[in-house]
Amino acid sequence: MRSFFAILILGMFFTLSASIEDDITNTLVVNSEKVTSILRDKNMPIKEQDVELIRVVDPLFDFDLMGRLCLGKSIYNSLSQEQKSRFHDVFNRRIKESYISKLHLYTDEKLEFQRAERVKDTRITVLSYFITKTERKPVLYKFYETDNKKWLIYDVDIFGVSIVQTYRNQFSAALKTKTFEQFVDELDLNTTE
Amino acid sequence: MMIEKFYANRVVKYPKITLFLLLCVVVFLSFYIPRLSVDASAETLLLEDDKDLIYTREINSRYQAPDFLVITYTPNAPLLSDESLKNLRSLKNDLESLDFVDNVISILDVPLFKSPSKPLKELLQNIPTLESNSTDRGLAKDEFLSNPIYRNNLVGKDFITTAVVINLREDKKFKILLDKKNRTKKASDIQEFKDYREIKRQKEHLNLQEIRGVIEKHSNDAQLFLGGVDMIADDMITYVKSDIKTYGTIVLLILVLMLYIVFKELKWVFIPVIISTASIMATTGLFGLLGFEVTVVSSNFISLQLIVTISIIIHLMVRYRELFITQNELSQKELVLQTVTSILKPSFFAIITTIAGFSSLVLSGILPVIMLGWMMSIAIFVSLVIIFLSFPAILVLMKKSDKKIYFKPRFSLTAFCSHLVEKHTTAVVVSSLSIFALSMVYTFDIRVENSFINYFKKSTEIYKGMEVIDRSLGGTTPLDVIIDFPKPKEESAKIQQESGSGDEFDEFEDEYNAIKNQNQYWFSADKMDVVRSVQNYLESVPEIGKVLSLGSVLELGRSLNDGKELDDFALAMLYNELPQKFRKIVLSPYVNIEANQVRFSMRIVDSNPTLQRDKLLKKIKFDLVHKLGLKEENVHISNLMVLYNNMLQSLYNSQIKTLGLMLVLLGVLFLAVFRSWKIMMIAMIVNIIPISLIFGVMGYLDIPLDMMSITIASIAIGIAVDDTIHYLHRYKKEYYKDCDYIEAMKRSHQSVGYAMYYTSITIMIGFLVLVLSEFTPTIYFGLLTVLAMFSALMTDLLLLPALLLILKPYKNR
Repeated sequence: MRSFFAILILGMFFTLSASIEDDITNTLVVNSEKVTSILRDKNMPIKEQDVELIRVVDPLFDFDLMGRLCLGKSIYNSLSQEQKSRFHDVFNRRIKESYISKLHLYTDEKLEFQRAERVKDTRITVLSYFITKTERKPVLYKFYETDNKKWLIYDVDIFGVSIVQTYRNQFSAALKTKTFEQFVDELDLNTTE
Repeated sequence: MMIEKFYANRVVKYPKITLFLLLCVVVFLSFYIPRLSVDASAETLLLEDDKDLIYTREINSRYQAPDFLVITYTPNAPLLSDESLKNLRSLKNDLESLDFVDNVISILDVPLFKSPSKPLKELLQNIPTLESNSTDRGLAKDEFLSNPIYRNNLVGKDFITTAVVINLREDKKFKILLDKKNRTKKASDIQEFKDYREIKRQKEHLNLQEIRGVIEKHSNDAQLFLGGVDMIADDMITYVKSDIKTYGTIVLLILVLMLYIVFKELKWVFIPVIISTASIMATTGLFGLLGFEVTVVSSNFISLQLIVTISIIIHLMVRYRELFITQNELSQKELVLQTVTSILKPSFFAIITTIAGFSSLVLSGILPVIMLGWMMSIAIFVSLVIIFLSFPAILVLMKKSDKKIYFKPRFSLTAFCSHLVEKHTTAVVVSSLSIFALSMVYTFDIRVENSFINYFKKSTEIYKGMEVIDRSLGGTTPLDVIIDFPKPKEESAKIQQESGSGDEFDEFEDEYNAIKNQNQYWFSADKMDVVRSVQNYLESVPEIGKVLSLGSVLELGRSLNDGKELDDFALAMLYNELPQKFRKIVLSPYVNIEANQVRFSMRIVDSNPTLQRDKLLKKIKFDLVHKLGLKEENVHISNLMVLYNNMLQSLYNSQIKTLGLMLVLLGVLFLAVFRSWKIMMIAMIVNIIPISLIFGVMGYLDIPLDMMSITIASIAIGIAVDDTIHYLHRYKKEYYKDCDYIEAMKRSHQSVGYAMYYTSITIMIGFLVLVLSEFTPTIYFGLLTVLAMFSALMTDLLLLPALLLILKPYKNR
C-alpha cells in the first residue's frame, strides 16, 4: 500500500512537472502564432502592430529582472532606489523596442518549438528553431520560476547570442567611462530615437 | 729579403708550375660558383635580432595574410561597360586557370549590398555581385565609390582603374622549413631551407612570367600593370642580376679599351683582364664554398674587387714599364723581380689597411653589413694573393719587349698637379679644407629613406604599376597598427572583488560569468569605440593611403543599418552568422579574439615625395598614445615598412659607428706603416676628405642613404687608402734620393702618379656606364664611385703633396 502511494505521488509529480513544461511550450507556441498573425497583417499600421506585439510579449517576460541582470550585481546593488526605478523605466522601454524591432525582421519564417527542458529546479529552457529556406537556426527561451511560482522569460539566445549578455557587456563598458546618470540619459536618448 | 728569395727561387724560377697550381685552385673554386646564391628576399634585408621582425612574423601568421599580387586594370572602355566586364571576366578566368593561383578577386565577384538596396535578411540569404541579374550598374558604381572597403582599394577614386587581386596558393613547405631553420639554426636545416628557397624562387619567377604572359594577352583591351610588394623583391633581384650581367660586361669592355688606349700593348690588356677575372671567379667560388649569400648590400663586392685588383695591377704595370725604360739593361727576370718586390710592400700595406677598414663593418651587428665586411676583406685578400703570384709568373714567361714606349700624354694631369702644388701650396690646402667644411655642412642633410618606388626609373613597368596603385588604389608599402585590449581576466577579477557576498543574484551572475568570454560577446561597444577612433585617426593622416580594419566593417555595417551603428547584439550576431568565406575576408584579417587584439592594415603612398617614413612611424605611435589615450604597451606598429625602416635607421647608426672605428683603425695602421705621427695625420686628413665629399654630395643632391649607397663610403676608403699608401711609399724613396721635397713630389707624380691617374681614369670611365641602368641604386652607385675615385685621386695628387711640403715630415739624412 505504501509503495502504491509512493508510486502514485511520484507519478503525480512527474505528470505535474511535465505539465509545467508543456504549459510553457504551449504558451510559447500560442503566443508565437499571435505574433506571426500580427506581423503578417498587412492592413495594420506598424505602430499599431507594435502596440499589439507588446501586449502579447509583455506578460511572458520579466523585464525588471532582465534589467538587473544587464547591469550586473555590483552595479545594481550600488544604486539608489530612485536610480533603480529610472533605470527600469528606461530599460524596459528600450528592451521592448529592441525585441519588437527584431521581430519585424522575420515574417515568413516558421518557428518550430521543441519540448521544454528543466535545467535546474527553477530554470526551464525551450529550444526552438527558426526555419528559413536553407537553414534551421536555434532560438533559446530561458525561463525562471518567480517567488510567486510564475514562470517568466529572463533571456533569449537568438542564434547563439544572449540578449542579456550583450547588454551586460555594453553597459559595463559604458559605465567605465560615464556616470550612471549620463549612462541612463544616453540609453533614454537611444530608445526614444 | 725572404720575399725576394721566394720570388727568385719559386715564382720566377718555376712560372709554369706556379701558374698551373694557381689555375688548379681557381678551377677548383670555380666549381662552387653556382652555389653562390643571390638573396634579395625581404628576409635578408631585415635585422636578424629585430624584435619587430619577430613580432611581424607572429602577426602575419596570426592573421594569415596570403601572398598576393595585384594587377591594375584600366580598360579602354568605361569600367562597367559590357565590353570591359567581358574582358575583365576573361582575364580573371585566364588567371584562375594558372595552377599556382588560389583565387582571383575583382569587382566582378565582391558582394554588393546596395545595388539595389534590399532588406538585410534577403541580402544575407543571397548576396548579389556585379554578375547577378538583379544588379543595377549605376547603383553599383555609387556603391563601389562609397563602400569603405572597396573605394580607393578595389576601384580608383576616378572609377577608371580597378584592382585585380591574385591570391596565390600557400607554400606550406616553405613556412615549415623557415620555422625549422629559425628554431634549430642547424646547418642541415639551413641548407635544406636554402635549397628549397632557390627552387621556390625559380618557380615564383616562372609564375610571374606566366602572369605577365596573361597580361600581355589582354593588353589590347586595357592598360595593365603588375604590382605588389612581392613584385618589388623579384624585380630588385632581376635588376641587380641583369645589371651585374649587362654592366659587368660593358664595364669590362670599357676597361679593356681604356687599358689599350693607355698602355697601347695587347699584353697590358690581356694580363689585367685575365688576373681580374681569375680573382673574381676564385672569390665567387670561395663564397659559394663557404655558403655565403650575396644580398643587395653585398652585391657590390665584385665592383670593389675589380677596382682594387685593376689598381694593383696598374701599379705593377706602370712600375715595370718605368724600370723597363730606366733600367733597360736588366733581364726580364730581374725586371719582374724588382717590379714585384718594390710594389709588394705598399700593396700589402694598402690591402691590410683596407681589410682593417672593412673588418670594422663586422662589428656593426647587421647581418648584410657584416657579410659585406667579410666578403670585401676576403675578396681583396684573394686578389692580393692571385695578383702577386700570377703577375710575375705570366710576365716572366713573356719576352722582354723590344720597343720602348714612353707614355707621356700631351697634357699630363700629374705634371699639372705637381705644378699647382708647387706654386699654390697654401691655396690647395685651404680649398681642400673648405671643401671638407662645406661637405660636412651638407652631410647633415642626408636622409635615410626606404622608398621603393624611387629605386626604379619612371619608364619602368614596376614604377608605372606602383604609381597607379599609389595614386588610385590606396598605396603600396604595407604597414600594420596592432591594438591590444586589456586582458579580460583582469576585468573579471576586478568585478568579482567588487561584487561582494552572495544573494539572489549570484546564480544568474554565475550563469553569465560562465559565458561572457565566448567569442561572440567579444565585440563590445567600448572596443568598437576604440576601433572607430583609431580608424578615423589613421584615415586622417595624409601620408596613409588605404586603411582596412574592423572599423571599415563597422562603417559598412552602419551604412547597411540605415546609418545607425551596429550594437553589441548585431555584432555578436554578425560574428555568429557570417558565412565562413566572408568571415575570412571581413573579420579574420582584422580581429583576433584569442589574442584580444585588432589589426589595422594600411598601405603607405610610397610615391609621395614629402614622405618621411621614420617621422611618420613615430608620429603614428605618439598620436595613438597621446591623442587617443591608448596605453603605450597596447599599441604596436609592424609589417614591412617598420622592418625596412629599422634596418635603414640601424644602417645609418652603424655607418657612423663603423666609420668612426674604421678611422681609428686606419690611424693605428698608418702609424704602424709609416712610423711617424705627422705622416699618420697627413694620411688621415687626405683620406677623410673623399669620404666627407661623398656624404656632402649625397646630402646636397638629396640622394638618400639606403642599402645600396651605404656601401659607397667603404669603397671610397678602399680607393683612397690605396692611392695614399702607394704615393707615400714612393715619395719617401724619392725624397731620400736628394732630400728635396719639391723634386721628390715631381718624381713621384711622374711615376706612381701615373699609375694612380691611369687606374682612376680607367675605372671612372668604366663605372660611368652604370648611369645608363634602369635601377636607380645602380646609377647612384656608378656616379658616387666615380666621384670617390676622382676625389681620392685629387686629394692624393694635390692635398697629400701639399701637406708634405708644408709639414715636412721626413728627417734629413
